[in-house]
Amino acid sequence: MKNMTRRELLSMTGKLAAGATVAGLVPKNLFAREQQPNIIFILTDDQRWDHLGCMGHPFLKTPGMDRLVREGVHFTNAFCTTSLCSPSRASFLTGQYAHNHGVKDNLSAWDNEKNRTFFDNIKDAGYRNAFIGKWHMPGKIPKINSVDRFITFDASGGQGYYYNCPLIIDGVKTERPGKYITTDLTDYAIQFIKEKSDKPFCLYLSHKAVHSPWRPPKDLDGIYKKEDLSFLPKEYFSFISLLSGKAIEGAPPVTTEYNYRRYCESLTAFDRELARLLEELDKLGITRNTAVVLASDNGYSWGEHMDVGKRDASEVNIRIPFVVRYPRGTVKPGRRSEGMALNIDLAPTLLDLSGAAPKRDCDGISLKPLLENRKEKVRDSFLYEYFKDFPYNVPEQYGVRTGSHIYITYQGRRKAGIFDVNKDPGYRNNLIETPEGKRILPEMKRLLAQYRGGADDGK
Amino acid sequence: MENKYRQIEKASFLKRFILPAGTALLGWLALHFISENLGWIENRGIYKFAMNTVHVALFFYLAFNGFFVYRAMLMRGAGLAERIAGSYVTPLAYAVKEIIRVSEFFTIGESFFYCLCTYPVLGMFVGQAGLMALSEMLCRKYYKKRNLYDGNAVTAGPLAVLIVSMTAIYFFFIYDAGGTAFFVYSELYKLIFK
Repeated sequence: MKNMTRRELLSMTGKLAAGATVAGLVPKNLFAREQQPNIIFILTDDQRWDHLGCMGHPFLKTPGMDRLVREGVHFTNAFCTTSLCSPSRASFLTGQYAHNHGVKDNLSAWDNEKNRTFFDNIKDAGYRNAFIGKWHMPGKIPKINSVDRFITFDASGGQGYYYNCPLIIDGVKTERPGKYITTDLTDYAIQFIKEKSDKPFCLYLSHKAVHSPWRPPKDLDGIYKKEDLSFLPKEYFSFISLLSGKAIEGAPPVTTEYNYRRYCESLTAFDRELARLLEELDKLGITRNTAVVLASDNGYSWGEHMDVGKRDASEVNIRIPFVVRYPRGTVKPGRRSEGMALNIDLAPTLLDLSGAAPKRDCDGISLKPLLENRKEKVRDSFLYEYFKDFPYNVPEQYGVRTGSHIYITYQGRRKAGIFDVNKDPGYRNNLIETPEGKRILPEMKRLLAQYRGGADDGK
Repeated sequence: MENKYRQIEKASFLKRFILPAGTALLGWLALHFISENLGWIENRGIYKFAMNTVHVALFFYLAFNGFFVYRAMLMRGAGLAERIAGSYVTPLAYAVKEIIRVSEFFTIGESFFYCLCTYPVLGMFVGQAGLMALSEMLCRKYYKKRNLYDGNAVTAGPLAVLIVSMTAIYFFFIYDAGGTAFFVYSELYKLIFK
């Protein structure tokens, strides 16, 4: 065999490498610097933490969400710090508790001058950003800083409609006749991620689903109408919406059963769109390098405490679904993490994953160590806040939730409570006057005062 | 206002006002008391049945109170002002109960403004007006058939009240499932209290 010259050897190596890359035998990023991941955050509305097929729901089928759980890390102890749409949304965007970002209820406006979202830091890190979907924060819809594509809606006070919901596309109001909103928003999301660019993307996809008044698409309408609902809480009844002040959530004569089935059908519609989006990532070959985070703004009561809604510190209201799928940055995908994850953790986590500069005013903590299985938890407790949201019949409340107990204080005449969240998730036995409660109370008071900067409303 | 009903004797105040309005009020209080005290029922099926029955009865009782009280008072010779006032006794009592209840966490001003919320109070008040107008026209028709009423059964006044009332109910509860009405109410709240 003839001896090769140095030039011939280099030339042949180059040709082989080029050929292997073209043939797909070598990962495209092998020679590239550490790639920044694409980011997709998907936010549902009022979705309960246990409303995923893989959580053992009696009939709900959610192959899309189940796939995320199978391929990612499922945070089964995830919570919102305020169980209400606008404050929780602002917490996701800013990484702050409601008392810090100022959107305390569905009426107090978002301050676009003061509040900085994670989009700013992500943009500085070289991303192109899109916010698509429900903004629903009080006040005029702002021009969000550092967002290249902004699609939202203002119909029905920002809640939008399931059908024919006009969209505001980069500031231009556009009619969407015949469109089902979950599908319409997903179409725009897919369009955004398919845009050719040498920059990574960050997409915030925020759905109307599954907020009331629930309307599934026509082909899913009625798919659960024959399902047995005997698993709903003991205290629920069909006309629970007739209780004082409850019909805002669904006027009579619509029954709770009817609403609940529609809720599940609308959720199935969302799941179908999620699956479509995930398939699109597969087709584009970017699944491995895309961090997909799924969460809901708050949970929802379907009969628990004789309530249909979300406005208090009940477990079903404060627990949220929270799943992160990031194949390239996750150790042991398909596992459950018991560490407490909060809505305020989203911003620091995304900044951490993207390599962007941290946001200095964050109350949240990055969950990256949990994704990488380096830690079991990042905190032991958190602050729950619910500010008065007129005219809803719920007193203002502040609480501290630890791994084992919740301490809740109320504005007005209602007495404070301590509940064992593991033995008594329905909060039926107030321990505050018991020896156990008396033992726990001082530490709970101290934590609450610490979180609230000295204030303690406990009585 | 000229009384066009013939042969309807004006009963005493006790019979034409206190009795119909008071009976309606007592009925509501009884239903309300029952609805608050069914938690002891252990059997889930019985509990659900009882809760559904009582709450639906309560809803219809409050929603249609005006229709029946108005008619009962008219048949006892009560004048228009008395009929309207009597029909609003139970809804007013309900409003007061609600104001007291929500004053636990709202200011006094907010607690009163709460009653302007489409559900449950304002909707009920507006609905009562329409039902009273309907009741008036049906009574006229009933008496006219028996040659005991001199005018037309359907006249501009009650018809207008009925149309306005039904339009409001549509806007409050049916159009956008009440979402737009609630948004308007919230904006009003912000204007006044924020």
